[in-house]
Amino acid sequence: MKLLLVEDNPAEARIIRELLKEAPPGAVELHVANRLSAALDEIRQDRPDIVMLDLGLPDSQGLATLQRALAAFPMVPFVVLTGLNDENFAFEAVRAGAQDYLVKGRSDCDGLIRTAHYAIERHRNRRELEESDSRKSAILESVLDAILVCDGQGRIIEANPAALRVFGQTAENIVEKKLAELVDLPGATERAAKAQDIAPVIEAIESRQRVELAGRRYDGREFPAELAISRIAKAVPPAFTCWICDITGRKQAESERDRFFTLSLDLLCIASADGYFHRLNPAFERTLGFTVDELLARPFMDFVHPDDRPATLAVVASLAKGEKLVNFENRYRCKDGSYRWLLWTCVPDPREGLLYASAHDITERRNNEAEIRELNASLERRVEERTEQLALANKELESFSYSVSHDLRAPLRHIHGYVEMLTTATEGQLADKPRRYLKIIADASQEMGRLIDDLLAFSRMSRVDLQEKPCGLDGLVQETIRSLEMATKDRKIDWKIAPLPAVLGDAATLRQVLANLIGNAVKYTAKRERAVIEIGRADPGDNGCATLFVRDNGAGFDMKYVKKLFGVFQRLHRSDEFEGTGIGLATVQRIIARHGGRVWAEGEAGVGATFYFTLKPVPSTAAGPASARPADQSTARP
Amino acid sequence: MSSLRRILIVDDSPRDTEMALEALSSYKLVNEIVCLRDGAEALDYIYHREQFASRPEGLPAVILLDLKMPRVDGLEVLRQIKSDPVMKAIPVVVMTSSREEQDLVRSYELGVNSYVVKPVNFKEFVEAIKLVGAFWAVLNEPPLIKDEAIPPV
Repeated sequence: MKLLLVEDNPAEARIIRELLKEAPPGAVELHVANRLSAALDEIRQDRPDIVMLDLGLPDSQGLATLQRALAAFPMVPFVVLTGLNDENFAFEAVRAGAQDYLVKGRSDCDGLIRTAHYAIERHRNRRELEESDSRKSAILESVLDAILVCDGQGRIIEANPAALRVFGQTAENIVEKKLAELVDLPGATERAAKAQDIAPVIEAIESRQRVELAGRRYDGREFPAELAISRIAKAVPPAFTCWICDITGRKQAESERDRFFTLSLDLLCIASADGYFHRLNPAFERTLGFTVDELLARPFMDFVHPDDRPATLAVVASLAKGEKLVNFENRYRCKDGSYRWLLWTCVPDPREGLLYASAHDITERRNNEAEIRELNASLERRVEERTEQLALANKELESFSYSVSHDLRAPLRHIHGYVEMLTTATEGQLADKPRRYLKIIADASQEMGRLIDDLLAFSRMSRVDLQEKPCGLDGLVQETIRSLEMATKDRKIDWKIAPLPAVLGDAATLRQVLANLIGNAVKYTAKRERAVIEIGRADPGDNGCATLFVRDNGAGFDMKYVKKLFGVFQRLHRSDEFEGTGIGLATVQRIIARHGGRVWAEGEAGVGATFYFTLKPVPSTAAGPASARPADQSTARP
Repeated sequence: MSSLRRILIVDDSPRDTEMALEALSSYKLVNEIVCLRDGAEALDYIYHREQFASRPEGLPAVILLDLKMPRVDGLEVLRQIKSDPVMKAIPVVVMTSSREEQDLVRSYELGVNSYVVKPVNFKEFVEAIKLVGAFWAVLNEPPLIKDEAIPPV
């Protein structure tokens, strides 16, 4: 034990030194200082286990000496040395922080050493207690929730800083408050009014662990709080610690969630592994017509359509394995016995044994789909019926044209034949006039024959199957011009023919298009000294089609009548001007239309006409000079 | 020998028949011309039946056959003649008002020798009759067959 003796009186110091000689060797190592300043230096350097301090020193007098020493070294235990009859002063020193006092001249060696040991021990215990206290108060201070201590009447005894924050109180104010003023203790107000002890209320809460109630701040504003109370063991009179948590944030999140849960048009639920619903939002009631209680009372499978149960069971099984589920559809029964189609998305929580599910009512969609399917089916049936009718009509038309072709032509042939025979038989016997009559009869019958032929060809055009293949228009144009040789051999015609593309089409019918258009150009330029017929490609074509044209400087036509141009038996010229049956352009239009193209014309009376038509070009890979000339489709004839 | 062989005209229209006769007469053929009014008569003639049971022997040089006729139509006559191993040697020229694709195709399938659409124009009609009549009645040399060799049907 290192003992520092602070004593300015050498005689006193010597007495103590002599006294300690009786101590066992090495038990006490004595240092002596005769002034306070020297003592403080000594403590700083040598850290004694105990200091024995005389309070009357040359540089410090009285209690101030102890106070200065304690302030400098609170970690060191001090024992005050006093004179005789000075015990009151000694108590004062102990109250001021000294561990003990020794009356000079009254102590023997053992007493002195014992006093020193007790002082050291007492000092250490106090230090430890103080440290433990400060740790505990640090915990209380750092906690975010309010912690209060109250007595049996609910009076606040202590509050941590968080409590001040939570309730908006100062440390001075809060200790005057009662717990019932800070939180709405159930029944506390009534008891307080009757001046009754609120301990039973507190005890009731204590047994319920945590309760939710309203907290009240200094300004009267309330907030949701959670409260737990426990009795402090051994406290007499009884005291309680109260833990109070401001749960405003949590409540807000909950209420937001609840609002969504309530608002949702979709059906939201939590179901448990036992096959029952656990929680349902109001959309279930709205959609199915059952109350939530009715739905909670039975296994959810009871509400599933019997036909959908096996699939639903399978899905529930896979959910139980922790698999997520999307886009599952089944039918749920409504209170009125009808069923609604629901589209489910589920997330399982296998740990909790819960399913979180949301369902969308798709009954309308399903009904619409069914309706559309039904419509499609009936449409298909109708198309079939119409197709049948059309086939029948086509067949009738065919037999009609067959009999037209047979039965109408025969009498015409007879008229013509007999007129001719009559002409031959009366050779040289008839005057000019009757001979002219006979000729008119013959011409008329022939003309009607042509009309019938053209009409039949035209009607056949709508029924014949088109064989679309790549066709070189250059070749077809040349062929057509050659076939018109009879009509053009005595004419002066400038042919201006541009290179033409290969197109997709039926060669036999396209040949008729060109024969009609080029034939018309030749015919309607007959009165021109010099005819100019131009055949070319106009760009740009529409919709990726090639636009082609045949232009002439012939009689032309008035654009007023352009709509009549392509009608059957529509003619814009009298037959004594230009011959024709009025069926050629109608045939052209029908053929081009059946190829998916269109035909139009521009013209000016007395100036000329241009006929445009569009055809699908050959896709670039299939185009080639070799493929541009398809085989002739017509049947060989004798 | 063929100069004396008969030409058969089978047509239900007396006018067409008359016109055909007129046309043939202008060619001054010496062949005898037999006019029959429908397919049934034509078959009776060929097979020596009914009113033709005692007709003179010999196969016709050519049959000018209309298609659309009452009772038995031209295509049926054609079918029977061309499926008969002996009779199929007789040249048959279908002469019809229509040039319906189906008739044309069917006639060639059945083995017709020529198919002529009767033109409305009489001069062309005369030309056509003269051409086929002359070709089959005068210029064509048929195989030597006697119809007596056929067992009666």
